[in-house]
Amino acid sequence: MDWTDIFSYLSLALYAPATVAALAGVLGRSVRVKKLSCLLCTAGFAAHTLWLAAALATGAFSAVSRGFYLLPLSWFLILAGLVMARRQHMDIALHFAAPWAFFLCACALGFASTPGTMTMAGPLFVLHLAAIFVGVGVMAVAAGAGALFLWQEGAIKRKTPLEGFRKDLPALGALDKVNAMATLIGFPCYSLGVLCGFLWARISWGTFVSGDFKEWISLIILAVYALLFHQRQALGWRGRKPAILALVIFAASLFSMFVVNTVFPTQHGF
Amino acid sequence: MNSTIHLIGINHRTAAVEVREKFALTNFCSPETWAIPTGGDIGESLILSTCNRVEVLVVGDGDKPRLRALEYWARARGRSVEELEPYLYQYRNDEAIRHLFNVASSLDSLVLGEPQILGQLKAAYRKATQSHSAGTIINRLLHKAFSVAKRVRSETGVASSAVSISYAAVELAKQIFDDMGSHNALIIGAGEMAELAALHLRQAGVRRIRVANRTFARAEELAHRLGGEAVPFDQLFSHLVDTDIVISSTGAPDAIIHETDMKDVMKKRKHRPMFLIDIAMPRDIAPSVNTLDNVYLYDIDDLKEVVEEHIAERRKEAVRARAIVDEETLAFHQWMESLTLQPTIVALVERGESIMREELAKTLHRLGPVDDNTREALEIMASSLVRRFNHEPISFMKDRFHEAANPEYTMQAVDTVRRVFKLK
Repeated sequence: MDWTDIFSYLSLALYAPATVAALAGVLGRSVRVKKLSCLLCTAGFAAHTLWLAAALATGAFSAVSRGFYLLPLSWFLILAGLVMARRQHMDIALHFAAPWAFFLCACALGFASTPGTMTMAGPLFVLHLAAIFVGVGVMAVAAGAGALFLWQEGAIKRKTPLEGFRKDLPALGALDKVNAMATLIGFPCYSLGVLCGFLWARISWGTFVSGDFKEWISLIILAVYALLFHQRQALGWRGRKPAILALVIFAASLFSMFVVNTVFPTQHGF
Repeated sequence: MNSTIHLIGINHRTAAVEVREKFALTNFCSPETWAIPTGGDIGESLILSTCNRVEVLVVGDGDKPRLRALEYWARARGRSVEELEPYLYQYRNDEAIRHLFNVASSLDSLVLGEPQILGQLKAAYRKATQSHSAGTIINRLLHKAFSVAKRVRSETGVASSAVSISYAAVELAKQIFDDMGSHNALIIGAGEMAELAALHLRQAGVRRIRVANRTFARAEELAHRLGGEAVPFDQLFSHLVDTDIVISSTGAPDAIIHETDMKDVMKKRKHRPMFLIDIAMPRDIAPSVNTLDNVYLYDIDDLKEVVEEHIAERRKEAVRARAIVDEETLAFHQWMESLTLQPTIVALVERGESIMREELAKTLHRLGPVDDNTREALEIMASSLVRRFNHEPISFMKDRFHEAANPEYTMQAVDTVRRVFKLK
């Protein structure tokens, strides 16, 4: 067992109870359990960071495999959750990120032995992946906040009193701020990631566009992202519509990662 | 149980306000005008007198303290016991403890879960301690009542939702806006309920309050009371642009804010959310305004519905709260019973210490002059011997107390220890 294995098991061992504590804390309305979940999640993030560093140092991910793909993606997701929790005082972002991190890390571990199909060729490729992961990571948290927004807002509009743990959820304004922050950070990053991908394709494959289905879905996501960014910044969109768009972007990202990469004939099919 | 706890009282359920004011003991709690003096039959006493209840708690042997308290209470108000008795509820021991815990936890209040009663009970206890009428049992009982109230509030939702219309409006505002300190409120009209809601908003930390009224002087008057600013009524819509919370209660015969007006306002304010509370009758704001994005409109009936649901929720939570009260009543009952062991334990310890002092003096005399270290070592050893020797009989009594369902078995154990150790 090497360091990569040790840190991978440690990450999962911390994310698993963090997920259980997040669920128990939110549903049971226990402040202590929710705090415990945040602590476990933060500790899991530290182990996750070491796992990622060890994997890169040992050359385990010299080629892009499914395992490699999911490991930094989940890392960026937790990072986004941590930033939201700290900046907006919204622990719910971390409670939402913990189960996803556990699921993605477990998948990364499961696919660790899958052979890579694409070599990590140069900084442009690394930037392409990192920027896309930031864009998707923050949108995952924004989608969680968006789902909560729609749920809570619907009840307030219908004049249905919020009961149980729904009373403890953040105010609509706070949930909308998560969306605003995620859009502000996520759109430039995602755009940069897509741009780097096209540039890398031009250098490596001799063409910007190869008609790959992955390219089309990425451009569609980018278009929706651009719409969200523009409407928020220029027209002052708030509330329901940005929440719905965040959910659309995140759902399309999941489709792109889990369906396109595995079902469709694509050069991203690792 | 040698000491009996009696609780006698009248409240909003047993006596109308005219009766309650006749028997109120509000100003009888200072040491100089203490209505229920301790001494004689009454060992300890406490008076709780609020607008909804007057209760007297007395501790002493048998039934005499209750009778004396009744006499004092009636006499203090220039009435007879016969006049008071029809409205009274009278509890003793466990029932008295349970009732006090229910009162402290606001389970016996007119508005279930309201927080004021705990403060009133604390004030009553403070007066009792200042008057030296609170002894071992009342001290312990009241401290326990405060902790039971705290437990009920933290473990159940009996006090968690707003049950007044104005407070429910503020609670709703907090579910919409994350930071009240960065939002502005506008009061349209100068009604009493609008003022109350505005006061709650002010307490919640709203940044700025403006008042618009057709009569500007009244707007100024209300704005002054709220620490806000009066604005001309004809500039209402321009002020709505930078207002986040609106409370409207004018006497206008028709709606003064329509959907089309609000569409313009929302566009100008870049769709920042707005919470409109319409407590006017007839309504000031057209109901269709609620269909606009980021606009949340609640009228008086919506708020009443919210309040009613909250009351129903509190009632449900009260069942859980009463289970906590029962559990704590049992724990207090056990503590009261453990008091029966106390005199024997004290006598046993005192006897042991007296023997220790005698024997230590003899030993030191026999040894002649000794240094401080030797003396200290001897004292520690003697005291430790006595403590260890007493441990077994004390444990024996305590074990019987905890195991025995029948208090007679505890008394048999106490009697055995007293006879073996020849305690008087």
